[in-house]
Amino acid sequence: MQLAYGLVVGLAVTSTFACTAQTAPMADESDQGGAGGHDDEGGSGGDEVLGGQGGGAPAVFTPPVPTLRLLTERQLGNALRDLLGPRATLPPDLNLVEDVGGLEAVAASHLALPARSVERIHELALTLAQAAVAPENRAALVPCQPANPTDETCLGTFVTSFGKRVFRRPLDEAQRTRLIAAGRAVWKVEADFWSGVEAATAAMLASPYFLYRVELGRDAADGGRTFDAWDTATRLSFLLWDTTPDSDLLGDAEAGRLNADAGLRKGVDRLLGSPRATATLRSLLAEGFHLTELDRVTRAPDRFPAFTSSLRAAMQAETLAVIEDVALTRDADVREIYDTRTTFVTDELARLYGLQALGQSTPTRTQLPDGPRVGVLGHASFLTLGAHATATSPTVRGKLIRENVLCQTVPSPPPGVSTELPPPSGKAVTMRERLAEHRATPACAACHALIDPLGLPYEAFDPIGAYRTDDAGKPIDPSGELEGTSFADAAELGALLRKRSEPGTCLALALLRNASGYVEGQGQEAAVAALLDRFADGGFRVRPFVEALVASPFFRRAGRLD
Amino acid sequence: MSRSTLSRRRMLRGALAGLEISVGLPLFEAMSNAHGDALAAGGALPRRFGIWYWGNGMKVSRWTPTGTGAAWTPSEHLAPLAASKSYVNVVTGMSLKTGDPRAHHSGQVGVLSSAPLIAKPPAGGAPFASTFKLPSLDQVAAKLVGGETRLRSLELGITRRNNRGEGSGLGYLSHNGPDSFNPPETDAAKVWNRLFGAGVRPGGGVAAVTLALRKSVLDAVKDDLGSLRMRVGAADRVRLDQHLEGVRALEKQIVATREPGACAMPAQVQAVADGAREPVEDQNRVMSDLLALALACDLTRVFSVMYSGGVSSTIYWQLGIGEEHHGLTHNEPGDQPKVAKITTFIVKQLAYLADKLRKTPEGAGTLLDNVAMLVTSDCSEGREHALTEYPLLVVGRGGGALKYPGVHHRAPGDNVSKVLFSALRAGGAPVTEIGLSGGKVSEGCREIEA
Repeated sequence: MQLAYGLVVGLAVTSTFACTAQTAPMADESDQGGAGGHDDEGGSGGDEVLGGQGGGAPAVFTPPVPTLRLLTERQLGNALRDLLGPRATLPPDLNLVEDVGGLEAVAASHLALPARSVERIHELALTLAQAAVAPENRAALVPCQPANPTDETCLGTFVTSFGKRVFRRPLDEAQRTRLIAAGRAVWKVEADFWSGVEAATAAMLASPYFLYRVELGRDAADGGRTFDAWDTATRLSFLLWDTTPDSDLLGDAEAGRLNADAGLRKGVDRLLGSPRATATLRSLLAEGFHLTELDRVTRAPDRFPAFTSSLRAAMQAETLAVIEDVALTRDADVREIYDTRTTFVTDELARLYGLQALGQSTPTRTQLPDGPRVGVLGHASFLTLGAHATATSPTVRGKLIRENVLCQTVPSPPPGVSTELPPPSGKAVTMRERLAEHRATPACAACHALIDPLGLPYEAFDPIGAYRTDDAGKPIDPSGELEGTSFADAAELGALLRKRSEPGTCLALALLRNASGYVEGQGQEAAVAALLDRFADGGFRVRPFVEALVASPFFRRAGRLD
Repeated sequence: MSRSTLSRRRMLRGALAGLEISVGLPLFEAMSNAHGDALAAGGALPRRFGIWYWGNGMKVSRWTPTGTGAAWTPSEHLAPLAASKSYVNVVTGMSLKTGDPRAHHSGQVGVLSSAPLIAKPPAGGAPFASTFKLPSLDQVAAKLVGGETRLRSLELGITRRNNRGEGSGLGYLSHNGPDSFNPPETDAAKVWNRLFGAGVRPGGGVAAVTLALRKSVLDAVKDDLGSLRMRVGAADRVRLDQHLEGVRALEKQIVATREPGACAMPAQVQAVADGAREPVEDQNRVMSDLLALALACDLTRVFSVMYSGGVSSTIYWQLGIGEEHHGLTHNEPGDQPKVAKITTFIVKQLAYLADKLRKTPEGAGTLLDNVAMLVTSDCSEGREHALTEYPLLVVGRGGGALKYPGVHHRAPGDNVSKVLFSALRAGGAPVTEIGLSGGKVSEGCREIEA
């Protein structure tokens, strides 16, 4: 089954501002700035239409220059806990880099650390190192007993063994010497073995070799580079467990077991079999639903008394649970998340949905009754994100669907335009009526005709996702239209989405970009097409896709350095 | 005790177990000459540049003072500044000319960097997202004068309900460049730690081993950065260079033993706990006091106070108001008395800082004599996100560079960037040109310059 994902929908408009819905990255990645400047080395295909399948696209896979990948906050937290034990936690609001939009994994390949973040990291490294050498932790940290207060041999043994786990590969001689020298410098002031260990530990945790994923590969005969066994162990570990490679994986790398396909597959199977993989893949798939942004949403308590922090948490948990159930537990067609009636609710959420309470404060499986509420787009999480403090926003809801379900770019409003909605007036009282202006004025209609009709069916749900039949005293019209196909309500839209390929491939692309760290562009079209074809042929299932991904050139090859 | 004319650096640099250290002492004690009005080496007392910024604008009719020149009468909004009026220069009528008008974004980015924004793909439900194209003005100053002090610059935050969902352009004040920002610190205890160094105990010193440890870590990390830099591609070299700059900034911060009583070091400050009723006035007092101390001890000469950002949703329960600020600017009908009340309250917080700086002695005068603090917002009338009749104050005497007593100058249609230029220069940053496109200027607003 061939996929036509090079989809371009043009619209004749009377204004100079053309709105075309192109299948493109989840967000415009081509503008990743930071101090790294704009990355034009073939990796940032940005908002260009990915070449149509077949004719014209070169078959040779040409990946971009390999880049350092900053550990995300979650990865940092996981790695520190795995290295130092459960007490090693991150401070809240670490905020090392800004959320610049688009996928975290892609931003991590471009952003640079500003001075304040370097400061925070050093404070963290010093704090963690201090705790690591507390008397009760010493035996777990250092594998030898110091013969005297300035025992360089034992310090060296520690640096070698701990360093390999922190830097994710054996240290080279220069790194090793550097770290022993750090210990020695402290011994000059105070001859205490453990102060030396503390210095070496802090230096490792603050090192760029820990904070960035250094997967640069080695020059290969074909003119590009291939990732070595240590790179591969790291890529596998971060993709599936969001953490630093464990000792088993490091052992596999050392023994050369990850060089052949069979060994790699075994590694994948072991990692995929763990709940850590479920948690990681679930977060990756959910990234496009912006669930963490819900933390920032507020509602006036007198208007929406049901919107408590526990309800908010239940909303986030519901969407995560449904994604996990469909895509991971049942290993089913991932598009089912858009029309499934299975969901997971707490009592508070059940009450919001008008369902029978189950007597549970933790998310519990239940079935949604017949009605417009189906799938993740019927979840309070999506509906709340697509609303303002006191009113729904069909435009935002429609935009979220275009961008995060269909993987299409929606341009920003033109400069100078006020995005404030006109207040209700005589004839325009419902939200649908007030938005009619969007579709009446040609300059606005160009884009809004593509966005609003997708969000208007969700007018059946209020700003926190409760079902309603009226808006401003008038009955709600929940009909809409997607590329010429009309539908009567949100449930029919869910069913429509379930049958299209984009909702599946959009999620697959998110996983691909997480693995590769870049948005695919020139030189990679054929490989992307091949991967997505396999995904569709395999029934849009996530687990086989992950295996195909790890076996694909995206996982093994990089471009030449510049 | 006689004073020899040691240079500032020689006086303050010492050695502890072979480590280089630097200490901030109150300027007057350390470096003033017998008359207390200049550094012993013959230079003037250092000037400081700062930005005090709030979001969502004001009510133009209640902001613009009556009378011009030195004989101006504080308006309703500016009334809290009455006690420090001689140190306040007000410019009204100007327009922000940096272009690309986007509600809140272009005002915030434009006035804080004198340059247009960079549009970013908006996330989630946001209509827009942005970041800075150029560094913000405080970082422009820090680049020029930040190397003189232990801390290159200080970023403080007062309120906490800011909009972080539309890119760094709306979320943060201080920027080093696109997507690279310095977040304001809202935890007073952390500010205290930053000023006086972790491990410094009031009245006590820092363990030498702590210093040695910190330095050894920095040395190892610097070498790691150097070795990694040789192995990566061009774009990554630039990223690692920025990382290295951060490490170098940390080297300057290593602090050694403090004499008890020097610099009137306060006891460890506790963070002001947040809650449903945000304790804005308490937070403002604690932060303003810390800032005055940081400046008096010459720990930094560049600061920014992000009181609140554009689209701030702070709820001013203290004024009996239940709706959040940004929503009110758009939804309160008529003349918006609640919005007006909030704005005046915000200026009252600024006034606390101004009064504090004015009451802190320095040399023969006050700390405020040597400060130039730009005060502004992301728009004038919040309801329209207007970029005309822009709110602009320059507070302080700028070491004599600013008019004293301060004046009210009307400049209808003139360029806001001129005032930004004047403030920077008065604050000690020797710029000759700032900004981009409509915000590019190479002269200031003469009428507020001495």
